[in-house]
Amino acid sequence: MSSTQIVFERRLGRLLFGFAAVSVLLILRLGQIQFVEGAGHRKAVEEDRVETIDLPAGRGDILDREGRPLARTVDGYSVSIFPVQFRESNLVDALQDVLCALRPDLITWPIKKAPHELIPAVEARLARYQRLYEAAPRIIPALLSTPTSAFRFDALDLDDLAERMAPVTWPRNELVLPRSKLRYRVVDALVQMAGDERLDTRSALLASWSRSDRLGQALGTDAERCLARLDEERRDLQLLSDELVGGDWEEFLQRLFLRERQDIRRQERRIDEVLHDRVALGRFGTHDLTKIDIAERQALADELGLPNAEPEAITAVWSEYSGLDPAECDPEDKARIEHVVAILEGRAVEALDRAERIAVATALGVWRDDAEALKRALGRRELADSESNRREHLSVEKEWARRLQFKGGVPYQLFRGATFDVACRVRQSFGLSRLGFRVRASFGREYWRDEDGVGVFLLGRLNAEGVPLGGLEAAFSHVAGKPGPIIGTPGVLRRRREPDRGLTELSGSSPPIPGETLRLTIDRDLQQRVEDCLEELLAANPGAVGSCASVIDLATGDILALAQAPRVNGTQWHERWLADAVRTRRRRAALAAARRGGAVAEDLDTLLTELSVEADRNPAYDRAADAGFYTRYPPGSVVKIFGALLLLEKDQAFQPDEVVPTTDRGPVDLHGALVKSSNVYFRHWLKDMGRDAVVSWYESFGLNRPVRWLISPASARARHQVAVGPESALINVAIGQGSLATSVLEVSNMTATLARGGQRREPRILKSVGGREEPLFPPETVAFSPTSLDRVREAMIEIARNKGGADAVATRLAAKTGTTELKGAWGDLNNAYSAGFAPHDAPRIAIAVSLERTPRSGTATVLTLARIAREVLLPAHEGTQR
Amino acid sequence: MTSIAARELWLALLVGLLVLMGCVVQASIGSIDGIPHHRIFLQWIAVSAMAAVVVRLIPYGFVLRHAPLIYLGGLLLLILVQLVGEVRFNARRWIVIGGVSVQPSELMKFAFVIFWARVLRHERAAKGLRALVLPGLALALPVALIFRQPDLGTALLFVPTALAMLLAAGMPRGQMVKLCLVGVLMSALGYGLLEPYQKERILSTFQRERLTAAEKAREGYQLEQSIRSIAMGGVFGQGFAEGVQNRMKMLPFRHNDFIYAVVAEEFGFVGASFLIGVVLLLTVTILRVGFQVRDESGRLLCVGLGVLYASQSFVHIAVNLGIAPTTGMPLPFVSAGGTSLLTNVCALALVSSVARRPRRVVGGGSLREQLMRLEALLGRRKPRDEATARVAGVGADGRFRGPGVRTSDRVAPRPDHF
Repeated sequence: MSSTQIVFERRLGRLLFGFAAVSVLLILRLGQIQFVEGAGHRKAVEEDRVETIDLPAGRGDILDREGRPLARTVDGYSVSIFPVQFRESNLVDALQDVLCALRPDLITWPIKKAPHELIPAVEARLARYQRLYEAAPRIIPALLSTPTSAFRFDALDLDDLAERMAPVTWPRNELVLPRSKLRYRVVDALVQMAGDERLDTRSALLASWSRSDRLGQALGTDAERCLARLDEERRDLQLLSDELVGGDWEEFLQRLFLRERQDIRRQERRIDEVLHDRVALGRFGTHDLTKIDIAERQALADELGLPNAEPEAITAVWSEYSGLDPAECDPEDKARIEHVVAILEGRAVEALDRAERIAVATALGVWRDDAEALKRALGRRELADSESNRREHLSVEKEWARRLQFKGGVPYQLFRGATFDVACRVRQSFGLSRLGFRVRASFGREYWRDEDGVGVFLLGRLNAEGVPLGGLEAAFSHVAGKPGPIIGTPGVLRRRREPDRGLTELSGSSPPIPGETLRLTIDRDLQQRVEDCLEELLAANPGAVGSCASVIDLATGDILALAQAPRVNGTQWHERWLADAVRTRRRRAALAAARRGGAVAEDLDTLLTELSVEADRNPAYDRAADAGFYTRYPPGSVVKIFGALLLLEKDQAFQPDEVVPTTDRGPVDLHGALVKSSNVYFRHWLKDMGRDAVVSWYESFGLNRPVRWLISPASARARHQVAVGPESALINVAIGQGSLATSVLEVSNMTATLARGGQRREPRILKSVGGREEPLFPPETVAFSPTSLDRVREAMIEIARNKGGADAVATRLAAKTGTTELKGAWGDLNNAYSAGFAPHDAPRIAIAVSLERTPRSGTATVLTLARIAREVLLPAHEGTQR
Repeated sequence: MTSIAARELWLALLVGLLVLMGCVVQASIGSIDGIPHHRIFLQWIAVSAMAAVVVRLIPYGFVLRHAPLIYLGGLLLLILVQLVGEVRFNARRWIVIGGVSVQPSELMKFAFVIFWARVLRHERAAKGLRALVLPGLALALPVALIFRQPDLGTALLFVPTALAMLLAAGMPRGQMVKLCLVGVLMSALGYGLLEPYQKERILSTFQRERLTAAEKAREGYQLEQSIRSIAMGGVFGQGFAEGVQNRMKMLPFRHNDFIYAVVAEEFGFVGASFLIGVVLLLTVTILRVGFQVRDESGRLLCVGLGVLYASQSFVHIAVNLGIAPTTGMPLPFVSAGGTSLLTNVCALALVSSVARRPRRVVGGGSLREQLMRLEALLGRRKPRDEATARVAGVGADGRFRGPGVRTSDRVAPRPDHF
């Protein structure tokens, strides 16, 4: 043997040994996976097969104090599809799958045609079956008596056969047919005659026959079964046709595709517009320095080394430097340019006042308006002036917006109100293996008189996914915090997926427990009438942006009405204000976190500021209960009635009858100062009391106190901190201006405490849960003498008589007006306030009304206050009934 | 003659067994995304069987003579893929010819082996590094083109095949070691050229415990599901079409790249080990054909094809078992994939052709050996001893028994006509 051969053999041997070794290694590894690590992997597979489905609990109905419905829950599951996620080629198959899952009894149902198109075919088949069934006793002997060789089974004519065999009678169940090939041919002929060539029909007939050998019996039994099945199928088709596609298949497909594309085009146009606006406003926010006041401008000019602090000079510097490209300059110039631009950018932002910052923040789409946040936002917006760069920037923004808003395309709701089993079946069948399907719990909430929107802001809304949007709906979620009778208790379903696509329910499941029926203290009819009054008030004061009112029952503290205008149409509100899903979701999450106490007061302030900025545009904004936080609703001179009580009770040196010369109202005593609302008088007398004592006195009446479901403890605490904070001054506190913030709910509650003679009770909005009456809040006492109350009441009666008209007299109203002078972003406008109680000799209700941003004073609201009192106390009053 | 027929029969039996296993597993898997792979697999079996008969009838010498043409054809197809190839799963590996998808890299593997078998048949070709320039170029071009598709797994298959062929061609040990060192160095440098997902796959194989859930879901998902499928099998498996993972469609690409996991799940340790055994047996059979054949080209062909088959099979199984990075490598004869099945069956037909026609080389060996053979053939001289007789290919009675052992084939007469 040659040396080459020997070498080859040796090497080949080693190669074979190597492969053998690899084989052994692989087998060892196989054994390791299957036997050593097997248990862990098998456990993981089992865990993967188990799916835990959260079963959201529906909420109970919401009723008014008389049991009249305000909101009703209609729950179920929705099946949506995302057409853009389907390839055109498999869309029909996908739809067939999901429809079969929705109606598994139609599993062989072809989707190629519309359901309603199939109904005639099924009916024709049904008719043929019927005829076959009836003719069977005559046909079968004919079949059997005809020689097989002469019989053409494939050319049978049912009508002809039936006619020929008409005289023959034959008992259906007595014929015994031998097992032979003839049987199959007979069955084939029958099936063919029935026009039902489906394999399962044929095999079912054969199976029936083979069991009895009695053809007639088999045919009879099977025909009955087939007739029943066809009849059922026809009913199902009809139902499916009606329920699913409204009987119009073409319209369904058109809506499916056309609406999708139309929606996308519409949204794209909207994004284009928004982005153009954003860019334009963003640039404006950086460049326009004319709004900076002189001190700021001087500081900026000094920093830039300019002799002239005029806006034009600074803008000229800006134009000069911002037009230069630092990359093309000398290093020194570059540093200078960057320095100047940084100063201008930074100073421009810092020099803006609060309202301007808010405007810029809104324009830039950021939700914090502090200077740092704006600088960051502006820093991200690095735009050159060229059109191409602008377009490029827009396209990037557009792409991101599309990703955010249209991830997966616009869903098309295919089915709503599906039962849980159907939802699980669809999710199980397609949710995991096929893109484009979404099954969600859908909680439809129907609100009473949605067009007029009675109490919509108060109730809030639940969207289709069961997420609360504002109002009590949100408060029930956020304040209640944990599952219970108010928001229901979610359930859990643990299921194991089986390889045959079936499901096995596992232990540990629990059904959802829906929330119980809630009854509010609101009187629905009164609420509606108060809203009408406020609408009229708004109409009578052109330019005013909103008004709100609160009515409290003095005996129980129940809130009878908490209304505001403009009234909101729930549907429009949803479409108009919640369309921008991303922004809303972000804000809601932040606000929820703040309400839970997860944010400091400043954050809450920022959030609510943003909300308040939008308040003009968003009628669903809660003006009546929680709006006062951002110092937009100081009560004005309404607080003077409480200041007067404080002087009467606590100030030993105070002489109520002493006439004091004032610069604003002339010489007045306490009565005159209240009636004429003298700021100087109250500043003069309260200056020795101290700010904190005055605030504390107001708070003993109900200011800055939490109201369950309506004013959170965190919000009340934060308001208190603002009221006693470094920015608040005694003068403002004494006359109800500045940082003293409140809402009509609080003012009405304070007035109620006064009217009750010092008995403070927390207002109640939730009357009963599931038929169980909620306990009244225990009263607390504010000590003041009846004499002091009488002095204040007399002044309030005179004010009501002077300004409240006939209704004030009729209801024996006692009232006090207040005017909040707004400054800054809102110009020289006022918030008009009034609060009172009636009847003054035996008080039953306390009311507060406010009108936002009007050139008029608090007097503007007294007529409405009196009218609301009349609506409560004299409800049969003509002209106010709807 | 009997032994030749037995070798062929043995080859056919083993391939048939593997194809049968493929049919069973494909039937167990059924359709995927509406594509009935099991039916397509049956169609390709019919096509491959016909192609195998044709290849079997062609003398392998004819194939070797046209090796450059075959190689250039394969290369052309690879270039065509780059130009007009169809992109699936982010890779451009297929071209559609007449409605049928063809994967040229599958063809190129065999074209390369045939070409190298022809180039390395001269003894000197494997003795000097300088002589390896042309073969090296012939290796680098297809590897680069396949790497660019990207199909790293297939590209790397060329390496063990080439090394084995060099080994069989008689490359000195020292040069082999140097070559391996260069290869290791280049692999280390080449790691930097890998795509991020390829690196992640490598990490997901060797550092599974360190992966985050997101990484596992991204690149380690297939591997995780593959190992779970294998673990579900146990000793005897869950039975035909009864695999939970298979029926629940948890394992992606289970009809081709992860078919071994399905075998392990449904037929258990016994079935999966049996499959490894059959693969090893087929490899040994192919290499034994090479061992027995007297022609250098035929021997190299068998070694190349055998190592290529074994490498691909073992890499597929190793990937499924989680001891090699995930790569799209079908299991020959078992996985779905028409081109793969066709080329593998044709390659085996070629091996069968080699086995059927062992090429006796009269002119091989030293001058003395040649003279002895010639004299023995002419019946003029009896061998002096048994060893000489074996070398000369003659019996103790001095009559010619068959081809002898040659030491070189510098003078190669035409085959089949002595």
